[in-house]
Amino acid sequence: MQHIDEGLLHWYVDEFDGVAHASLPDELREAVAHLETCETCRGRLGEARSLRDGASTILSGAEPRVDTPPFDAVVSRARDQRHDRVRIRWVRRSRALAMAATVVLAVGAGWMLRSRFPDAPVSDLVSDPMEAAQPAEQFAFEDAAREADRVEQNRTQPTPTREGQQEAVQNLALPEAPPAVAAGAGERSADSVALRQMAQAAPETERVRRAEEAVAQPVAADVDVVGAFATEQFRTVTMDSVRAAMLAKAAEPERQDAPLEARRMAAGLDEEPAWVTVDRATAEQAFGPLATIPAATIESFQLGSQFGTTAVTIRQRLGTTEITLLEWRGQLANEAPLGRGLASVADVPPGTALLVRTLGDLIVAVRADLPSDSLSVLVATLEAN
Amino acid sequence: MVSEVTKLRTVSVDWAAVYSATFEDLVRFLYRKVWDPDRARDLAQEVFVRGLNENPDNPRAWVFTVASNLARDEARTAIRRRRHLALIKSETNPHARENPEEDLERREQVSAVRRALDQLSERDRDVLLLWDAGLDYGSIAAETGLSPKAVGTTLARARRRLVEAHGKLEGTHAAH
Repeated sequence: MQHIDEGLLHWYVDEFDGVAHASLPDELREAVAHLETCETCRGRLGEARSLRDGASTILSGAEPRVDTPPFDAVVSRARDQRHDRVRIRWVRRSRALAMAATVVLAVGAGWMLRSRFPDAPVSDLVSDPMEAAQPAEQFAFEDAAREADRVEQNRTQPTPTREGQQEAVQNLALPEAPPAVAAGAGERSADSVALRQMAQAAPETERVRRAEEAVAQPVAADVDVVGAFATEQFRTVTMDSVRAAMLAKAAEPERQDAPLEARRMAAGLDEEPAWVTVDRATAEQAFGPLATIPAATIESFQLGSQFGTTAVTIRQRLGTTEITLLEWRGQLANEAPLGRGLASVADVPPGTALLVRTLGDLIVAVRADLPSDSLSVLVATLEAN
Repeated sequence: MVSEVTKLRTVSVDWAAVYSATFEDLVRFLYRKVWDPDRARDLAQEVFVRGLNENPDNPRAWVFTVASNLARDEARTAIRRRRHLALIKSETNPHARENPEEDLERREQVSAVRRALDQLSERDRDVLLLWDAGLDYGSIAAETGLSPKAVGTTLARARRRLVEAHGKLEGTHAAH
């Protein structure tokens, strides 16, 4: 008689070993009857069992540790994705216009400073035009920081220094500051006007070509939150400017009707905030699904709560580069908690440069010193993810 | 929670129950495809996010079908990512700092399994991983278009090749 087919043998071993004959599928009844009379096939049955167990043992050598987050995390993530789709549709509409406006200014200002400081490398003088090509609505907070720096410089440095010029270039490279911090916008100097004019007259250079290419690129139709975040470049701010911006906001007349606690905390940026180090499961249980950079090692999760919102900081590392992700949810009374969170989690002394990107409710703060090529690698890695 | 779920879907599947019964198996399945535990967990959650608006007859099988597709997309992305990651060799691992020998051993073990699985054809690998994730022959047959008997044949071949390939790798490692 013909021996049992190997496929049937493994089917039997996997699902019906020891099961009563009556419960077997038709295909297996005959095979099992054959087993009772064929010693060879009984031997093959043993081999099939040991092959199955051997394969399972091998596979068990590559098992990750699995913590199952609560199902609420899935529901919360689904809800966030719906909100993100709405938000991204809005961002997409304004993105192309913002790119076009800012690229021209950045290129022009860079060319002017290049001619004013001919010995300096271009990278020391001006942000990359691609870096400047960012939507206005995403930079309210960073604009606030720069505006505070600029006002402070106008007060203390009537004659612009080289550093002052760099700040001016950064200001020019940004979209207009939001109304909440635009009180000093009328103070834009004559130099700024000159820079704008020279920007429009900038000659053809490699950077101009790159900028034009950037403007000419259509906005991807399937852009999503992660993609939009990843394709944005980083921007340098200092902790001094962050603190100054937040203090300036707290002092604004229109802020006086903000909750007292919010103003007190906004003005108390030097106070030590309460952040609790937790594991990922705890953080996600309290907060919802967290976005991390897959290529980077996760060092810690910290949980905090401010003004009825929950915030989480995630520290990751790429080589020697420390990356701090700050995520928060909820409607903030004003932007003070955001600044406070950034100031506290960054945990660096005043004057330290940070590379900061924001998108909606996600802030990425990269602690410098980063060589430019490392930053490029980081950005490329984010893009790839 | 029920009201939140209701807002997102009008389906009869109890996704919370499917989630608690399947999540670990799904992460394990995805891990052996993307070889990144965080990414595997993230993809597993994404599968259930998509499921909230679906009403499949066999939710468990549906979950693994979607996971397979996501892992395939992930593999395409990984090819691009690898170019960049080659530049970042100094990536650190906190566990490695705590117990470097154990970490090295674990890495070698995972690497050996991965290389052994790479020796299998895509079909054999998929069937083997689906079975190891807990799917029965009927579900695997529905997922792959094979008959239950052919699933058995495929599994037999996949197991044999895995054991042989892993044995060779172990032998090579021991020889060094």
